[in-house]
Amino acid sequence: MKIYIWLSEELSKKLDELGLNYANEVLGGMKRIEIEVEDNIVNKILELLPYVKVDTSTTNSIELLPKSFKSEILKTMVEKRLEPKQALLEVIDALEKRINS
Amino acid sequence: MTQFIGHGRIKIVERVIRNFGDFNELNKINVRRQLAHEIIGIAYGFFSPLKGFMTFNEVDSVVKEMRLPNGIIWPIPIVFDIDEVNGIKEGDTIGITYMGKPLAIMRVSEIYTYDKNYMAEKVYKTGDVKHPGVKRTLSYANKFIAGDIWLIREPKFNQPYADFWLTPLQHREMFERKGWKNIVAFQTRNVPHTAHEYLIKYAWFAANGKERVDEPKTGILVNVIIGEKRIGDYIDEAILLTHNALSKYGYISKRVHMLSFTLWDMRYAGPREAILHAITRSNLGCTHHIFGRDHAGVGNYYSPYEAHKIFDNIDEKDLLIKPIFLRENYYCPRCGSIENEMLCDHKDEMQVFSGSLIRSIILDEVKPTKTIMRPEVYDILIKTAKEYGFGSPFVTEEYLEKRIRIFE
Ligand SMILES: [Zn+2]
Repeated sequence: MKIYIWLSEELSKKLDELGLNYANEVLGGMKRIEIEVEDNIVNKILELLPYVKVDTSTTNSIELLPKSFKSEILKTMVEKRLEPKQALLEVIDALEKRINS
Repeated sequence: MTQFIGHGRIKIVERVIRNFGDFNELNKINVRRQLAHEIIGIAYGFFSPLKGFMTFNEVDSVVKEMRLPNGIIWPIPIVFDIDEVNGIKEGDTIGITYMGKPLAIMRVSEIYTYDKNYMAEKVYKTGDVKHPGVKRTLSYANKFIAGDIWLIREPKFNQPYADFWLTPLQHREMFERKGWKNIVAFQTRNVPHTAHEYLIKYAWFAANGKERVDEPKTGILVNVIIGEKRIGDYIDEAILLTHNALSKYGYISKRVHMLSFTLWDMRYAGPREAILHAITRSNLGCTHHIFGRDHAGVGNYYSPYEAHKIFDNIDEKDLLIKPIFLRENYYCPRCGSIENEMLCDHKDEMQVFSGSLIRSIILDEVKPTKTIMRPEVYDILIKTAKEYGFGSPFVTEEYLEKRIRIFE
């Protein structure tokens, strides 16, 4: 299962400048970060954000993740110079703490 | 003089009675949206030479031979289904209401039944109820009534639809005013990305043929299909206004671009529906019609270019419109441009404009590069989402429930 995050042209440039070149060019200059996630992470996300859609039939990805969640991953990558998967795990942790507090 | 000869080389006649007095005395039927749209379509000549809903013999001939009994090619039955006859007899004139208001009258020529499973299998080449056209056919009521119709109350379109509504005769008058000799139709239910834009541009060259290029002698008609919506489709307002943005901001010159719509519930009949699209656009006065990949298809019921192949078995004389066949466009990073398999050899590097990819970009609220979607098109898409889509450019339950009525 994957999480896809599209990058705007500005953000894509910024990540390149910081040496965080994790995105692939997919279509006409549009770049996308792909994060491979294991079942335990998928379940964790479903627990925290029950309205997301796990699409196993066509895109094999987690859909309808809120914009704020994806932005937070990108922000964490930039601020802490993390690779995408680590940033995702940090964002999940922070979200879990916020929900449980 | 504008030529009003339509499909089958038969003159298009508008079937509109403007002051019909005796409506209240008629036996009445209230119809659902699909039938109301088809009545309007028939009355203005979108489906000429049909004057009304098909008889048993017409349906049977269309289903089996893809022709009307008079030999004119016709691919999909246009039928009026009815649960209860309620005293209606053959020979009666009945009143038709839509949303409680008078819409049309019909002279009933026949009341009949038809094997719906057989109809579905022949038209859609499958009996699978998951096919939306099959599902629609099987859910028709058990009886059909046939007969000529006349519109007695013309629809008044709301904005933004009103700006793009033209009858077949009005289309032809517009084409004449613009001095276009060739008009190439582009069928769409999509918000345009650059692969669409270039499909249209390539087709313009094909349709322009040997015409000189000092003055535009060839135009493009982008004709949106407006009808049944499914969750996840683009909202109608976004389709219209983004295509409008393409010419408004000069990506396709206004000198060669026109935008309008046809009321029709897509049947997803693939090749047969391609023929129907050709017929309706020929009634609008178009001379050419674009057929790309998966025209009017759904799922994997038809092969990607099946709608092209069906034209092999159709005599040119049978249609007033010429098909223009195009391969699916892709972005080629080697060429740095929009290409297709016929035009460049870098297939291995192609970047395909899949619907789900574009959709995921939009859902991420990321502005696409101008290579794949024009910035003004994207801006208008977001604006229409707020204005008409309750925040979403895609159809939601809320949109289906509360959307602006197309016409009154
Ligand atoms: Zn190339």
